[in-house]
Amino acid sequence: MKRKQGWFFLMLLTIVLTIGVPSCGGEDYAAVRDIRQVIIFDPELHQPLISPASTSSDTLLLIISTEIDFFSYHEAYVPGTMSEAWAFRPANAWMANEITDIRVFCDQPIYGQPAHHNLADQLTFGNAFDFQLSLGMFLESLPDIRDDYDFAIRDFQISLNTKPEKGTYIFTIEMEDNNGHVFVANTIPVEWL
Amino acid sequence: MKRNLLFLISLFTGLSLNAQDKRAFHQPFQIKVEPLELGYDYSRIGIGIEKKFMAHSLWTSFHYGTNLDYSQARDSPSGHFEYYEVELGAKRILYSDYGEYFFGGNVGFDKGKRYVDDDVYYDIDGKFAVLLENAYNYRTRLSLFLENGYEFYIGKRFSIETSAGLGLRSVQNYYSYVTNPFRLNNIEPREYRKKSQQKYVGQWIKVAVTGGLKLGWRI
Repeated sequence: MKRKQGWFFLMLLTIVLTIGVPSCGGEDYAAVRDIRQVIIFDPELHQPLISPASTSSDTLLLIISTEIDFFSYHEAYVPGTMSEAWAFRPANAWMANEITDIRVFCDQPIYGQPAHHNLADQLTFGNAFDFQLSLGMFLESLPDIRDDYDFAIRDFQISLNTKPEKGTYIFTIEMEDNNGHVFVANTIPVEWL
Repeated sequence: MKRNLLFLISLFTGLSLNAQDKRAFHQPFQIKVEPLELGYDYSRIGIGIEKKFMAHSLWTSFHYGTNLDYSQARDSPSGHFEYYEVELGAKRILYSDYGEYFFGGNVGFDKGKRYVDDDVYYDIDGKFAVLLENAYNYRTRLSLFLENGYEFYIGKRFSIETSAGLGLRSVQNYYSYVTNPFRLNNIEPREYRKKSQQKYVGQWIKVAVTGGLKLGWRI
């Protein structure tokens, strides 16, 4: 009888270890804290431009990487650890803030606009080069406050679809959230040949 | 830590072989130590005095706590912790052959200070959360407890007192010296977690239980 119980518990242990145990301590919220970096990507060369940057391409992409803070619980969920292998995953984090506006400025006159004028209405935004939206539609597509965290907020692209006049340009990106925080980042100077 | 505690308890238990019924009012002052609190996540120690009358006693106790090794602290991501508490109490004493039953009440005030970094707190009333780089978290509590217990005489000079109580606590939690705060409006905790109480600022009253073990030394 004891021998059978032993086998039973061994099987039970095997099943439990196979299925896994619930991961506890997921993060409750994700907040956009800042712009981590802006990369200028040349889709014709299929590579990012590094300083000193110059291009003759018709189109450039500004790839915006945001800094996301996950928070709430002290037992942080760390992607890539054993918790990913467990059968039960913690619930998705909710967004603690939302992006309400994105502004793009250039230090030189461009696209018929004076320097330091917001160009956002003339540009397109998206998460893929071949799927670009107007600013309003793109903001609609981003997760709102208390929506599940979405990778779309982590990296996105701003497309400079038209080749401007020859010159060296520095672009400034401003993102504003629903709490009035404004995150600012500059690109490296890019010489458009 | 546990080994030292067991040694102390064994010592007192050993002395109890010579236990005699000596009424406390013969030696009316006692110094009392609360060593069990050394077993908390944040080690504390309490020491106090008790003045005994025929059927009543008045007592006071002072507690100090700190995290001796804060890298081992479970409930805090980081940082130094300090804790102070003052208690005042009164008892009604009923003597027995080997000690005394008692019941009474006490009022206490305590304040804890904890350094935190790379953390968040929620303002429950204001419905906002603040991400912070580092800060000090303070918790003050005003407590009112009714308690009863038994004090067991060990020889002429020593005693062990155990007690349990039920009461109310007014808790106030706040943060100061917050660096690089990042406020997020319209955010509340998704789930209230007791272990993370330091993350909720505000004031609230709650029902609480208490228990204690004191080692007494009569003067």
